[in-house]
Order: sequence, then structure tokens, then C-alpha cells
Amino acid sequence: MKTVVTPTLEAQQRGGCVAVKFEAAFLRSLDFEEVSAATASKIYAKYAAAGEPSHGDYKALQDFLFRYIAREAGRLGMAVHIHSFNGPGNFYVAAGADPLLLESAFNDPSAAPDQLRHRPRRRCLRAARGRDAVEAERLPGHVRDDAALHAAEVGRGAEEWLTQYPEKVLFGSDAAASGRIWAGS
Amino acid sequence: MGWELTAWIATKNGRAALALALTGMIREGEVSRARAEEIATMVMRTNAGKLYKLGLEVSHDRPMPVADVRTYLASLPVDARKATQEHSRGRPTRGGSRRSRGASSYGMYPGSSSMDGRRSGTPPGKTTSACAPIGAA
Repeated sequence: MKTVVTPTLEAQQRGGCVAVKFEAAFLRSLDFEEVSAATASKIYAKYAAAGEPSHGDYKALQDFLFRYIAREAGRLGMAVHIHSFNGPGNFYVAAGADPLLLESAFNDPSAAPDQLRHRPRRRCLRAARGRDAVEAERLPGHVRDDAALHAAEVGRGAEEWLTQYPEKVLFGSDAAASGRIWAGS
Repeated sequence: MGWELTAWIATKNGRAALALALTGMIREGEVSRARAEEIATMVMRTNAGKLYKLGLEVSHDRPMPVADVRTYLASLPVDARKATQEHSRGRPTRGGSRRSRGASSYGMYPGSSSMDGRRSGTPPGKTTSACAPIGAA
């Protein structure tokens, strides 16, 4: 991790990167649990050369990687974006993209909101569906950006956010394409 | 759909949604017009600047995002007016629960605007029109 992952993030940060984004919801559920480095190392060592890990082992390794990358990004002052709510295609499991599944990650004491003020750790949850997201707004460290919906729908939901969390709502264009140009989001 | 179109749609909808929401909040007396303009600046500029440490200049004397919203709605006056009216009609009546949370915590000025346009909570030096939509030109 310190040989590849951390230096990669550091290089990106030096290059002007302001945030990282997880598209994990396209591939798996967002319930990233806390997994020890020892457990993750054991799983990696067992399957790195050959073999196919069980679902549980694979998920545990992914969970560890998610939290490690998120913490490192936060340490470097980069926001962490996480795609949530809806997605394209029948392969997409919307139930697994519920941002409330991120509760334990947001409540992670190593990246608690109080500590965010003293250490440059920020997290940004990119929510993408109107009023359903209201509960998620209550998660600490959650910042909302949402501009891809019908204006009236967003407007109705936005009143609640703007009243209660005006400092946590920001505009995001999500102007990305699947081609060679990524204009950022 | 290319990124250019995605960006245009998102920008258009985002600004319209913000204008609708803030107009509704002004009409309900949730916030003053001045506070609404401040929130618009936060959503369109300040919050992102803080989150991403962009070092953006923050000046509420020049509420650029609101001006953008005005420009947008001015270009679509009929749609904007219609959408604003529909938005206001369709919004459920809220009881005192939100207000009881503490006005100052959520950026309300004490005694902020009422539907007839009188506002005792308008910040000194600010003049406001009563219930004009936040994005109205």
C-alpha cells in the first residue's frame, strides 16, 4: 500500500487533483466495513499468485482498500466522492447504492468530522436522487452535489437541504463522458 | 450524450432548481432575500471552493451565481415563471417544526420576510423586493 497506493495518490495530489471518486456502486454494495490490515494482507497473500477468493474474502479486501484510499486521500486534503443512488443498466443494484450503507464509513473515528477540522480530511458523497437523499444528508461529513435531475424535482428537495445544511450543498455538473475527455464533476 | 451537453443540462437545471428552491424559501419566510443570495453564492461557488481548497475569492457584494441565475431565468421568463408558480403551489405546507429548530442556526434573519413584503429582519443597508423570485430579472 505504501509502495503503490499512497505514492500514486500523492503524485495525483501534487498534480492538482482535488478529489478522488469511487464508482464502486456500479460493481458492489457500499457497505464498506472496517477490516484490519492483517486480515487484508492474509487474503491478498493467499490469492495474489493464483486462486479465486470467496465472496467474503474478496469483499473484505475491497473494504480494506476503500478505507485505506479514503483515509489517504483525506490525509492529502482531497475530497472523496462516492457514486450513490441510481445507475445505468440491469446489472446495477440500486439497493446496494444506498448512501446510508456508508454510515459506518462516515462514522469512522479515524476520519470523524471533528477531526476533519484539524486534519485535512474531507468526504463528499455524490448523491443523485432528490428527496430520497434527505436522510443521507444527516451523515457527518456528507456534502451533496446534485444537478442532473429535473429542476423542479431538485428544487423541491433542495429546500430541505438549503434550510438545514446550506454549507453542505454544492453544484456539480458531472460533466463526464465515457470517451477520452473527462471534464470533471 | 457528450460531456458538453451533459454539462449544459446540469448547469441549466442546477441553476433553475436553486432559483426555485430559494424563491420558495423566501416566500415562506424561511430566509430573507439577502440570505437567499448568500446561500446561492455558497452553493454555486463558496462551498466548492472550501471543499476543494480552491482559494476562490468570496465576495457577497458580487453575488455572481445569483446574477447567473437571473440571467438564466431572464432568458426563459415564461418557463421560469410557470415553474416557480407550480413549485410554490405544489409544495406541502410546513408546520412550525422547521422554524422551531432555531432560525439563526439555519441562516434566517429574525422577523424575515412575510408574504406581504414587510421584513423587519433585512440586514442594514439592504433593500429587497418583497416576493419576487430570486432569479427574477
